[in-house]
Amino acid sequence: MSHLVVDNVTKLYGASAALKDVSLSVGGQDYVVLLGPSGSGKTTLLSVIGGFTAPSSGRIHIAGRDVTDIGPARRPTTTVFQDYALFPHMSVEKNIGYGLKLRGVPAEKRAEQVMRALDMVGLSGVGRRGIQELSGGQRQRVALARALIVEPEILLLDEPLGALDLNLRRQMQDELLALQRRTGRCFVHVTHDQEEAMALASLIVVMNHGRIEDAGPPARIYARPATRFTANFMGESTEFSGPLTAPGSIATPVGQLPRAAPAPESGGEAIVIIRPENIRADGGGAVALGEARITEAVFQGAHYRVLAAADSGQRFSLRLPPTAAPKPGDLLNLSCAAENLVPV
Amino acid sequence: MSRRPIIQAIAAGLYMALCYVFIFLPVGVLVLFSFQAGDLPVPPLHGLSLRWYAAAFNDGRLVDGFANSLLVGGVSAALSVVVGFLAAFGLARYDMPGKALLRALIMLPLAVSYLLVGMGLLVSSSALGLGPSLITVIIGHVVINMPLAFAICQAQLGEHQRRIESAARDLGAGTFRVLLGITAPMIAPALIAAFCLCFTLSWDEFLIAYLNTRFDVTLPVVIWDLLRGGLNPETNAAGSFIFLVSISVMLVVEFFLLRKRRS
Repeated sequence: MSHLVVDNVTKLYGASAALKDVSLSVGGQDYVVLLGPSGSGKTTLLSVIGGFTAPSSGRIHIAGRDVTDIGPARRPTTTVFQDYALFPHMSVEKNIGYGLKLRGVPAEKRAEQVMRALDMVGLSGVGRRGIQELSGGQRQRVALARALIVEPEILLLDEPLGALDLNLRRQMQDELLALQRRTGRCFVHVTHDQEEAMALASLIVVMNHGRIEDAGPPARIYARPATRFTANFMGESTEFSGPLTAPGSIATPVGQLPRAAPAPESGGEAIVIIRPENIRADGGGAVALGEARITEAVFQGAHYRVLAAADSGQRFSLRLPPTAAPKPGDLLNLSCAAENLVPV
Repeated sequence: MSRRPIIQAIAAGLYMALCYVFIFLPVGVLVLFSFQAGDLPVPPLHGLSLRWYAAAFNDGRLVDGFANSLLVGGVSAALSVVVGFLAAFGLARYDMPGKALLRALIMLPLAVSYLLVGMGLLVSSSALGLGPSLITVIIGHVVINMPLAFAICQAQLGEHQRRIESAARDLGAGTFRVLLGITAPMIAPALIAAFCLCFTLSWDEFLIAYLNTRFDVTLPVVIWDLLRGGLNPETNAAGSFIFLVSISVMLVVEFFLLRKRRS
């Protein structure tokens, strides 16, 4: 049973559409990441789910209830804002307890719950401090505790890690994940960072120009992206394009390649992509990709990131082990397994 | 070569000193001769004394004027801040047609001369059969000071504050709770600063107060009345006291604005 259902939501601002016919169905334990470049509509979608923005058409259902016409105050969602939006004139405790106070929870019980929430986010002992005395990471945790203490059906996070430095970001990623598992709640998280998305999500929703490009588990989204946009946005890849010659085969600069998908509606040109780690330089793959000369090799610790080009003009992006010690000008004999060629 | 910057610095310093002397000399003279031991607030200085302050504080008219000014300043500043704050909140948070026009209309009284405001009030209150009173003066001071309070509040209600309000709504707060429990305390330094500014402007405003009072008058009107009877160090003492109150209030403003900037 789906916990959050976004049903054909469109949001127009004047003539331009921030969201176009977006539909999405999410389980109660999912960690959903809305991923996309700026202007892709991901933040608008979060705002529509949270009730801050009314959709032009379409419905939102949460836990089986139509909440489209319910404002943020009475919606079973809470939001962690990008700048945390903590109440600057209140202590940490008062910030966290605010939602309970509005719900009429008596002071004693409230204090107890606030203590537990502080423990949960690893902030015991800072309850009486002012917001100005906290570091960025601590503010983030206060914002999380404040949003989670009212036990929302869905926690919405708007680029929550954007303001943190890299180390802290990695650490907060782990904590977010642990928090989501511990609370057993559905999290919907907006980001433009695909590494963050892959590290956190059980379901990635890739957005572009107000549409959902692709939605699925991170491993599938990365390895077998549904669209060319997703393929490029989720990481490096090598693209082969050419006319369809027979069902399931395209003529590319490196020769005939299998394409296990129905012909694209546009007809004519078709594309397959392959991730860099799936290209082999040892000649052991079933599908030959021809010879290519290295144009650039950058050492990255665990591997070399290698760019190569064939005489036909076809470019490749691949990984080589550190022991290979590749140099520009070296000739590689490339191949791959048929299942790693992904039609987009 | 190296002498030139020194000469320039001295010239600049002299110029600056002259400007400050020009600005502050009258105030300095006023304050100095309020301590005159002699009978006239003009040179020569016959020695320092507090006798004119004692005289001022024993003068029933001055004390009444002082109380009236406190009342008018306090009430009109409070009203200006409440109305200005609500107007700024409404215009910052809600979409409505003609927003720019509404904003311009609110700011308009700043450009209207006090004489016009004062005369207009006198004529309207007479037409309504109310006659001049402190209440009319309070209304006049709200008219001239509310735009200022509005502008100060408006500058504080940005996107960051909007998200903080959204967070409160998200946790279940209605508009009234957001206003009283979040927005007002959040911009409290600006509200206090606006109150103090409105108070000082009302505190020494003369024209509107003069045109719209008859028996209960404010301190500037009392002093003007005293001055008509000739120069007297007592008026200097009263003027110095007005100055002291204004300066103290401005220091409070500085304190709150500076603290705001640092945090």
